Amino acid sequence: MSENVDAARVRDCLAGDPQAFAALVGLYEKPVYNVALRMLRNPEDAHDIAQTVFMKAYQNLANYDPQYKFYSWIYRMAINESLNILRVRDRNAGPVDERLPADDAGPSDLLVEDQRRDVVLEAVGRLKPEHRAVIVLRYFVDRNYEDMAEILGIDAKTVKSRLYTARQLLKEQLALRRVL
Amino acid sequence: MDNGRLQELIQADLDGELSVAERAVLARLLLQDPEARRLHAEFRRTDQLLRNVAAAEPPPALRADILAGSAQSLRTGNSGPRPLGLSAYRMAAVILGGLLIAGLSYVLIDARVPGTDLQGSLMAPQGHLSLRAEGAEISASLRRDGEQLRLELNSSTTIPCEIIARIDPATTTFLGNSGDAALTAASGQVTIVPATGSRRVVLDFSGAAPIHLELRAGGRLLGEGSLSVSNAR
Repeated sequence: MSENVDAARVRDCLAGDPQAFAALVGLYEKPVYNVALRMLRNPEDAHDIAQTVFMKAYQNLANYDPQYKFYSWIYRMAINESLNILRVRDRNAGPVDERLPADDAGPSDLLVEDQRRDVVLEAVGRLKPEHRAVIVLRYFVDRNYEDMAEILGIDAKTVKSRLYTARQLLKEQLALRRVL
Repeated sequence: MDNGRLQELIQADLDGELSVAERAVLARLLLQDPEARRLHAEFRRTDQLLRNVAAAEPPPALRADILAGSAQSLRTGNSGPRPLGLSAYRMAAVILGGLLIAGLSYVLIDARVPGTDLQGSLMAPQGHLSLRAEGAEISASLRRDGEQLRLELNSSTTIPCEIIARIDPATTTFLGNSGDAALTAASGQVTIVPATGSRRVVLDFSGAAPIHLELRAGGRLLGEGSLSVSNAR
């Protein structure tokens, strides 16, 4: 979706057109929900975060800067809200171990597709938040390096470095679980 | 070819970012080096497994909940109560609990300050200030710790903004900071650029209060105020 179209919708919304905001929700409800779901692996939390993100966006539309992409703005909010929840979880649960526990999972060809997906998501869910965020943005909302840098407030070089580390960790863990 | 360059090429290949020339380099390398071929195949398979995870469908009620929340916000003014799910209540409870513990800890720590000067309160005098605008909320507190002034800033922002702390350079010097924000110091002012989200930064000064705070976004002044604390101990 062109950011110009989104910026026009924001303007319409600020001018009092409720359908404009409904259109933005319709476009971005699913990716925002998926960002939160893949960051947190909890549908209830993802639902709450999607609500919070759109509420904050609605309340702060006047401050939206159209030089940035609208989706970057709301994905950043979704990531930040997710990170806030992860910080609380980490304080309660201790440091993250990015390795999957080795188990007695059988070889890849014995795993059905759903099981493979669950193993992949579990491995993603065990990544540190900064690694998880780049994987989520790359694979679950299909953002390129430039978008990821804008969303995360880091430079593209750091994005590439985090993405490589995250992929390396996932590759090792999936090999350990014989999914690769 | 060094390993770093190979990794760079593989990653660019996965992300569709290879130039024609780079594609040729990678192809040649994969042809010549079985180890590079193995690594490439493993990354490709990992990439494919991730791509195979389908996007989840949001719950059917989500859109209605969002729109109902925004309509409610409209009716009650821009800061209308947002619908809270169960886990949001859990979060609120955790935050309130954390604030209570932090507050008690602060009082206990301050009360342990050795008081040679028994005429005064054991607690250092404080100055508090909150600045709030759409997309940015700053809570600031200033307290004296011996010869030093300690300014604690807690920001919660959804928009890029900056906080400027202005001091009198004739009487006050910026000593340093800790926390989670980009910062530049010049004579008479310290500019803090917190990343969006919830951030905390602590600035230390020597000298005398007051410290004047400004909250700005895109050069526009969103709020300002002064913090003061007794200069005599």
